[in-house]
Amino acid sequence: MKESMRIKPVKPFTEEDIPQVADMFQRLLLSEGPSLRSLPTTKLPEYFEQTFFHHPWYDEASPSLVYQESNGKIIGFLGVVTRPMLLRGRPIRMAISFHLMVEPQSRSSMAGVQLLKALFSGPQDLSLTDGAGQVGRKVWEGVGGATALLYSQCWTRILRPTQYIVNLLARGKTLSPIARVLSPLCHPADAAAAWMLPRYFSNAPAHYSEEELDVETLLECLPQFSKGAALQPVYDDHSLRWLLAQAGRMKHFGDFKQVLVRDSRREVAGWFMYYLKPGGASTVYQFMARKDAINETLDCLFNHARRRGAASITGRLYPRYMQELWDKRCYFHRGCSWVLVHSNNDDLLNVIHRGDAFLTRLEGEASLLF
Amino acid sequence: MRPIRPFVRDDIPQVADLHQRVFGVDGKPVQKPISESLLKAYADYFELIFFRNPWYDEALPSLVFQDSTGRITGFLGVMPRRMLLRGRPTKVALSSQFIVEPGNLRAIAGVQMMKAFLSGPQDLSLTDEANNISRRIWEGLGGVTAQLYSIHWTRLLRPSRYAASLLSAVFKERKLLSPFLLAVKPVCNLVDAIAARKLPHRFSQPRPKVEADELDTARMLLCLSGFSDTAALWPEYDDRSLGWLLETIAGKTRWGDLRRLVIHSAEGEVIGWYIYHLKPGGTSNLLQVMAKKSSVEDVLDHLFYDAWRQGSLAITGRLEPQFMQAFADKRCMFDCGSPWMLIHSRDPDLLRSIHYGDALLSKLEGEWCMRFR
Repeated sequence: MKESMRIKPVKPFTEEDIPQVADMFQRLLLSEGPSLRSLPTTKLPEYFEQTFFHHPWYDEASPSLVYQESNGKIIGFLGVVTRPMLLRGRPIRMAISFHLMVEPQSRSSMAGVQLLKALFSGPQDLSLTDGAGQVGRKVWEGVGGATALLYSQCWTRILRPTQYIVNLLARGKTLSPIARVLSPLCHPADAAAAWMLPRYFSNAPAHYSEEELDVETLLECLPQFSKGAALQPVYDDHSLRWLLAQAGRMKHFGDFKQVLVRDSRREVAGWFMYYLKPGGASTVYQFMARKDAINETLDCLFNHARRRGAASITGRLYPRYMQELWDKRCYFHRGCSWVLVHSNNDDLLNVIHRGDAFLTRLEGEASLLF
Repeated sequence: MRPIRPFVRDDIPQVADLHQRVFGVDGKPVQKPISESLLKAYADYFELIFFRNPWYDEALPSLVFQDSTGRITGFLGVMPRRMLLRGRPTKVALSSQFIVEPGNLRAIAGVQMMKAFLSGPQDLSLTDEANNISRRIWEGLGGVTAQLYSIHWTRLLRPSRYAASLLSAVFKERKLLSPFLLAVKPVCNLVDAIAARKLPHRFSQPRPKVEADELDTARMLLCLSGFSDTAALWPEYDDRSLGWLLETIAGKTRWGDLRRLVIHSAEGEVIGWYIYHLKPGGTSNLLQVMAKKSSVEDVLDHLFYDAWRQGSLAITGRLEPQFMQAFADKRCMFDCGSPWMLIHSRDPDLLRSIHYGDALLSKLEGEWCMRFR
């Protein structure tokens, strides 16, 4: 066959590919059950269309990619959404990649490696994924990418210790009967703990107030609060509204809460957005605070979640708040997925590796999942 | 009179006095007058660490700050070290024992001494036990925090006895509770034993599949040289310097006995090593662990088994970034924040290697050996 007639294995993802990719997605990534998704599977084609072709930063130059066999059958997929960022005030493009999947019987074809190689050779300045597992990390590093170790750390603050322990016990087969017996005691035991250890369960600071965080206020605050970071996100009304609507849709993570915190002078002290899971582990989507109000805003977050029944709250480490999180008795762990990066720009990589980048779940794949 | 000048032997009595007034001894205020034996201990310490270390270099002296009358009101201990950055010799200056007398000029003295230190001829300035105040000064002068190397881990080996020891530390002032805490000890032993039997995957320390031997200085030098391609920035020791370092650290008996083991596979291949201060009935401190990437779990299993068998309740250490996942998989808890590792260099490649976690910067390469006791 002539070279020009051969089908290239990696090609841009087009709307015609949606049925094949959606089918593969359903078989490979949704096999773990309905609890991990926010939409019914009938909505898959619409999800792929909206997320990859109608997102606010759609750019034909950085498409999602598919890997096809010589007969045209798609056996691999890599979702890509590019978005603008600022590196020390200079505009750059960041490509978020996610949903990397390859048909199990074709994994020897190195389709995953080829897809990542194709991504890395794209026009973007930075490629990033923040939902990678151990295998994905190995492939990513093998193709020349790196792990952002600092941003791959998570923190957890226990808010209702008895409930938290009972939840842990309930996970294992051997101890789940004990968990069932202890379960009714959780509420009074945690109430007693809060009364006996007021320093650990401190209330929201006096003179600080909380209100619903709207898009306009967030849009106004984001540039201000990300100013100190060398790498910052760029949003406009349309993109931020779209992202938050997507985030609110992820009901399987919990009830999405958006809270603005004001200090006694009614100035913005910070904000937090998180998925509330009463009785379980809540997840922080974004937490930001003014340098002189980090502790107070953290107290507001912990109180907000505790009052609404969360047993614990977990977030991805934002390196600037490392000391304050530790001081507030959070513990750190590797309970979340890896954040992986690739760039030909050394300065950009350096900024991320030293923790000088404004990268929260809002800037990652969290809002782009099914 | 210049306020900042190199530290000389004649300054030892004044610096010792300043040290005990600001820091106390073993965290406790010193009773006046200082005993002869304590004075001698100070003199020996300053002499050994700052004048008789094997890397001593007049061009990288420790610094003192003196007021207009010549009285010493500040001290910054400096120990030169050698490292290799991708095989290229790199001069490191390790700072420790940053002391400034409380008073009106404290901030000025602190900033000026730090400034003088950072402008020295070294390629890399480093401190790894800094508090938040030192961190602010350091960053204000252009230094940065190596956040990855400021993460520490703890692995519980006897969880209920560890919890009881925490409780007894919290309530040590309440004498009434001491009989209760004493009575709790055998109960905790029982709970730990039952937990290890019933939930072996979480609470028991399985007998390791690999073997260990004593790690002497000569063998450790061989190991270090054999693993030197593991990271871009690697310490450079010779027989004399490593021997001195290990002997000095072994002398810090307050932290327990020093255990040094090299781990090898069934085929006799060296797959890693570790060095730690063993505290039976307490928390042991890991100073260095190194392993082949493919064998890190075996080496960690051996370490935890060894510390457990020797009676430790827990073991703690600084995170080796390349092994982050392995520590997490072995159910270590992480803590982040003070004490900080702070770095300063004009060489971006050097800074990059540290920010990427591509450096062997264990406690052996840090201030641990420069502790008073």
